[in-house]
Amino acid sequence: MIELSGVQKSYDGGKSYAVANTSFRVERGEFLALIGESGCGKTTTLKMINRLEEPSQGEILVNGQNIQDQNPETLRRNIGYVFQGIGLFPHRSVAENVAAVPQLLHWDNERIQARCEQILSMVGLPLDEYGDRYPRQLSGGQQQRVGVARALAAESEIVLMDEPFGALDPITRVEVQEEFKRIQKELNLTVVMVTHDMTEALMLADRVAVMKDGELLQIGSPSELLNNPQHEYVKKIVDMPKRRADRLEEIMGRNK
Amino acid sequence: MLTSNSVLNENLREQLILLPEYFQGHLLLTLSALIVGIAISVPLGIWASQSPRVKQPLLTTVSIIQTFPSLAILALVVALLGGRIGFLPAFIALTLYSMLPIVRNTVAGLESVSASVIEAAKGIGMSPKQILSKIRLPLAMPIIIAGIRTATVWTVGLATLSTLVGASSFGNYIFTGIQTRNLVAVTVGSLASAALAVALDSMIGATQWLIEQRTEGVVSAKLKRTRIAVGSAIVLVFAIVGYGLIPQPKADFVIAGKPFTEQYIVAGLIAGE
Ligand SMILES: Nc1ncnc2c1ncn2[C@@H]1O[C@H](COP(=O)(O)OP(=O)(O)OP(=O)(O)O)[C@@H](O)[C@H]1O
Ligand SMILES: [Mg+2]
Repeated sequence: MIELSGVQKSYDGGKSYAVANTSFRVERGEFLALIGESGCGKTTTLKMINRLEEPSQGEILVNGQNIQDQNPETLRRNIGYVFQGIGLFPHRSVAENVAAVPQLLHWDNERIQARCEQILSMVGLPLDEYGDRYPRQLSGGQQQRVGVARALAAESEIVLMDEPFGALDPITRVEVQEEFKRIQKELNLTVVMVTHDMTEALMLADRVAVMKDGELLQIGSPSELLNNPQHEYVKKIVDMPKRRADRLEEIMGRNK
Repeated sequence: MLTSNSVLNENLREQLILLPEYFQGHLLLTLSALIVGIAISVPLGIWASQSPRVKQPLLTTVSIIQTFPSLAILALVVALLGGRIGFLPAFIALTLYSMLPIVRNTVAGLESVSASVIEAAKGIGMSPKQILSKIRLPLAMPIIIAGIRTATVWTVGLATLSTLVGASSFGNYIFTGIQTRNLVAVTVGSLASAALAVALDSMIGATQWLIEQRTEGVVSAKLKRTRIAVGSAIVLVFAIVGYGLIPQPKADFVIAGKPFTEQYIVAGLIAGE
């Protein structure tokens, strides 16, 4: 469970707000997508949840406990995080990258090995073939999948993901998305995922939060947003996938 | 023609007899200065990279040391030690001189680690210490080693000057040679010093290469050969230095008795006080 109440973040001492007065709650096992245009404060919101940034105001609870009262390192080790810039460790092999958090948590080697094998095959990069490679020997999309595997490796119940599937080709993306959704359901993971892709948000998430200029405009289930958008901007961005689908149909029809 | 050749050979032989002693002195001086230089400079570099208040003053200080003429540093250290000559002042001066490239490269190396990698390390729950030891230092290592290699080459060259304060080195060849117009001695000294610089530099380079190969996961024949070569070279170097560290009776007094220019300089220093 994650709960933000009255959270604000200013990087310039209050002149402007990257995140302005935001409150929402993500229940255990819920999948929330955070969507909005570039610079609207999605990453900042995500970083505040694991204390990579500290809010200027407001309170954040994780599993009912104020994160200010928790040791930041312990907090972070128990929250999976997929970074927007991927951030793999270049001097460590794929397997070592994935093993990073379990090692911090002092798992024994057998368990780490078994987990690496399991999680890497889940993202389509079998340990035998990819485990010993270094990040520079992978394509962008493969690196991104290692990033996802690293975030899931320690079996955290909470996972924060910042555009985790952006660099994947459409076919791999759908595969990894579906696989991830399956695990999320199976393990009852609490997920906050930042994305630019409305289709992705609508397909994967239980609820979608739309942000603009640091403000949380609306949060609701896909059907709520589609049927009852409360802002012009929300309507525009939610309609996007549908408009594109219509346009596509039109083109296909014309070419028949 | 024949006679001049045999005179040359005779001269060369005389010089080469001195080689083991000078080599040992030079190596001992260089390596101890480098090892202590690394032991001081790398932690200083780490400290500087973490504290902006330390960084500028520290970098400025080590740069200033470097701008002093090396001879002046030697003389100053002798003076600061109350006129003491021999190994110690040479060692201190060389250590000071080795600091700049190592401190500077340590700072540069640590700063070169990409912010997104550091943020990821922090974000998965590494403590600042773990980020330093598991992420930043390993990633900075090639740059730090490049600094150590620069320091090595400088130190080997500068160690020749330590003859002037009475520490035995290849400089003995050079300065005696200049005094006695013995070109053969000067040449032997310079070549030996250059060869030692190249050898130590390649040793470090090869060690680094070996470490980097680990990340490629292949064990080729070349790798094995290099491993053996580097391993034996390191053992050899430390055996020579180790042997030099065994106190030999009266060795210290031999130095002061050498009829070279050092006596003028030391006399001048003492007179100047
Ligand atoms: N460390 C920082 N210092 C100062 N300003 C920052 C910092 N990080 C982000 N900002 C600013 O805060 C605002 C929100 O940034 P944020 O990274 O949260 O956007 P985002 O929604 O994730 O964008 P994108 O989709 O492009 O990743 C931006 O205007 C950005 O310039
Ligand atoms: Mg972002």
